[in-house]
Amino acid sequence: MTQPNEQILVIVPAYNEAAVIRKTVRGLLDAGYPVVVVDDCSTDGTAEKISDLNLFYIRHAINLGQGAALMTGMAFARRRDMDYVVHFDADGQHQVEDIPGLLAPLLEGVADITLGSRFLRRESRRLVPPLRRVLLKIAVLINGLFANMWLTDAHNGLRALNHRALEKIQLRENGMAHATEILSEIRQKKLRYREVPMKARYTEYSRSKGQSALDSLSILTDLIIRKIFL
Amino acid sequence: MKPFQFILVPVILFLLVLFFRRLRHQPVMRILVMVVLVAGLVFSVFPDSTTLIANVLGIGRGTDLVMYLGMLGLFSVSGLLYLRILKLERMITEIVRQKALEE
Repeated sequence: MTQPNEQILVIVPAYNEAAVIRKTVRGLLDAGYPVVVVDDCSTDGTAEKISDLNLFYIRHAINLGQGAALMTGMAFARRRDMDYVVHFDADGQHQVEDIPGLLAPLLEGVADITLGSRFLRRESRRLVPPLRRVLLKIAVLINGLFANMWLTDAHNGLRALNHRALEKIQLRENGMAHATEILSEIRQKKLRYREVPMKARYTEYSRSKGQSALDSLSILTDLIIRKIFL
Repeated sequence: MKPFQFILVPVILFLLVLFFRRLRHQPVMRILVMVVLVAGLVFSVFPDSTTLIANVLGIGRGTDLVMYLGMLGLFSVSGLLYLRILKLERMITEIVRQKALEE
């Protein structure tokens, strides 16, 4: 557990997060993690908010979606030969304090990838709004059916990958369906995984930016169509 | 000749010539399109032939047969187009990613 934080790259995909990006990124930098912000063609001045900070900044020329932004961040990490990467949401839902717990199984060598879960601890489970809880449980079921991975949480953007997982995982879903695709990848590439308890902080902002019930329908459509055609 | 044939036959003939010339470099596609168009031509000139085939296949009316075939054709075309779009999407993603990483 003596891995210096410099070998852990935190990937923060961001699309129009000017209001919160600075606070999120500052928290990570203060903890000593190198950060790469993948700006998915924001138009609200997200870039200016962080231009003075010591971090890596990559910008997509057009808006591609969160899955594509994560994949770009991972491609960047591969080029720099990072040992570990963390997926971290820009909207302030994720806590820096959860990262060490997420990395622990990787550093101990018992997992290649860890996935944050809001449902492993009673107190973090209670933080999830009731409607969201129901939606997430449906998503858990869908992930189980599509990827044959039965977890306690779904669409939780907090993850950590070791070098092996970083090299193997290929995301082709540009949109939100990547959360299910990652699970399929874990299964197909035979990566060892663990779920790790985390706390998601729901704020007025994160709830307005987060995915609506309607979005989950479009994710499902994506999954079904691709399942049929590919 | 019935009125609809005055419209359909020239249109199909026009499409035949057009695609025959356009698809010179895609032989498989060319043959497929030709088969569909020639079938359309035969069915327009001899509308009763559809009923004959339909009856053989156990479908009541010739119009139903044409409708089923049309639906089948539409679904396959949408599927092919979807795959084409997906391919384009992936190419665009790759270009945008490379460009982003180089900057």
